[in-house]
Amino acid sequence: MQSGYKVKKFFSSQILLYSFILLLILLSVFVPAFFSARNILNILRQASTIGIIACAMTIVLIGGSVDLSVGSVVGLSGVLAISYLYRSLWLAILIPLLVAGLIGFLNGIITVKFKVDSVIVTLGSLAIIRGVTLLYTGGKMVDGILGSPYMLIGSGDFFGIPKPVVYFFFVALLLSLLLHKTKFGRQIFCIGSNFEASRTVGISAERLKVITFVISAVFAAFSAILISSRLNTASPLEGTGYEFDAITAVIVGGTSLFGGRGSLPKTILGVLFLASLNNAMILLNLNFSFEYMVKAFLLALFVYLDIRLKDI
Amino acid sequence: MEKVLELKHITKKFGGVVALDDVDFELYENEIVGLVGDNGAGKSTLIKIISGVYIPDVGEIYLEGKKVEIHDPKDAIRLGIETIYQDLALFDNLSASANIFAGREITIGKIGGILGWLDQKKMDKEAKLLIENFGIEIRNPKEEVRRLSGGQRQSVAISRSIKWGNKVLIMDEPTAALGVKESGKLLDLIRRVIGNVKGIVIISHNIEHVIGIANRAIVLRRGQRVGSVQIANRGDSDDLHRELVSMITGLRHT
Repeated sequence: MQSGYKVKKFFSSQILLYSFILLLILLSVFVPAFFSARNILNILRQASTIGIIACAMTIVLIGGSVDLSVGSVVGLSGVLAISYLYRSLWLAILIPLLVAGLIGFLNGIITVKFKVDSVIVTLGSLAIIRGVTLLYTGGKMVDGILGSPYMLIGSGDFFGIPKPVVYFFFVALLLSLLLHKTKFGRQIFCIGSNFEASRTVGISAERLKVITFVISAVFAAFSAILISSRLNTASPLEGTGYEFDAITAVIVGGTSLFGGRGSLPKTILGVLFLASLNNAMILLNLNFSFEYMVKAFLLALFVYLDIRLKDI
Repeated sequence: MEKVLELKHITKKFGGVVALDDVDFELYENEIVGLVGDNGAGKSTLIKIISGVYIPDVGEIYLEGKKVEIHDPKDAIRLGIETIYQDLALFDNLSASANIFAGREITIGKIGGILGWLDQKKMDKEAKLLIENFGIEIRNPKEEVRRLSGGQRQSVAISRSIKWGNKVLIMDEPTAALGVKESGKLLDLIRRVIGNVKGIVIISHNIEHVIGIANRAIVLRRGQRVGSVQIANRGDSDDLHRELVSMITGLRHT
């Protein structure tokens, strides 16, 4: 019994790593051009957008909630950034971040004070924010100012590495340290594990929970700034489905939907795993719906494992 | 002997129901008091008043001779009163060390407050000492506490309370979910712990356990205090048992 537990625990904690290594081996054999430097950088660049959102989402999930509104926040933030670009570069950066912070705060307050499940609250915000964004732009894309220094934020590289990848790296590092090495992070694990007990021991459980939503929304806005600065344009539909991709990456990474357990480095592994899979399917010219099915299957598989291994 | 905790004339009503009616309660230094009574006697209400969950309609609370106001659980904690409820309020998937230091994590270095860097080594070390001090064996201190037995989980909860609260320890039905052997171990633990706090209050349905561990029992019935029974000096277990039961139920036993 004891050894069975140990095997299962080891297996569940390393399953992703081994699957990833296996995937890379298979891909390098079956997919030509996968392992070129250019393609790897491509994968990393594409992973950055969802990666940043997934890192923040990890914190929300470990804290015991979920934020389904991140995709819509990306859409709104990009539109706000480009719109305010015409006024000032600083406003283009600050306004989306502040608005996102406010949205996160509202998501959090409604969840905590009115005791509504975060799934419902953020599902509502997802819809409302997307609606507001579409209304604001009249359904059209917003074009930026050509040659603006704003474009420098997300385009180009730092010493050969695409800028989004560098940002992703630093966000991942910052949030990993925050979650796993600070008092704050430890208390996030506590509130996700047992919210009431957290209050009993004097943790500001409600305040921390609200903060997780703010973090999630602000990093979604940051991601949107990177996207819109690279494309120099913002679509009101940008970010559609990002919440699904981010949550899939986090779950595949091993963080539990139930809260209180998870790991940010593993989320990054999940992000890279999915990005590699994505990239391979594109290189192989596979159908878009096939890609969708594979992702859905993986999500279902890892949620199943999460539930099954929960009580081991 | 000094009174660590004293409650005078406590009355608490919930709507039309009188949960506690002019109840006095006292806990002397180094005492283990068993609070006993049938269901609905008011035991739970009384300790919730001590731990700040309820505020009495009438009555006063004195801690070490001084009058205190306890308006919420944080007040009680600040005064050194720690309560362990039946669910133990543990974080199941965290380690014993994380549980003991939950909310009061030790940090290294200059950045203070919530962003402080965790001093994991120090916490693990102190947790291990604390647990060993009570003679509890936990194989792997890094193990998730939900993997521990009921008695071990109780010890983690007790270690946490003792570490942070040094005046009064309240335990609500600590042996309720434990088997015979584990209950015995827990009662031993409580005997060792009395040196670390000024006094312990234990609610229990189990008269045998109360007789086994407490110095004195206070009996409540239907919201009223029936009386206080000295246990420590009584050798005669059957007689004592009968006396307690008759006070609890209000029926005379022969």
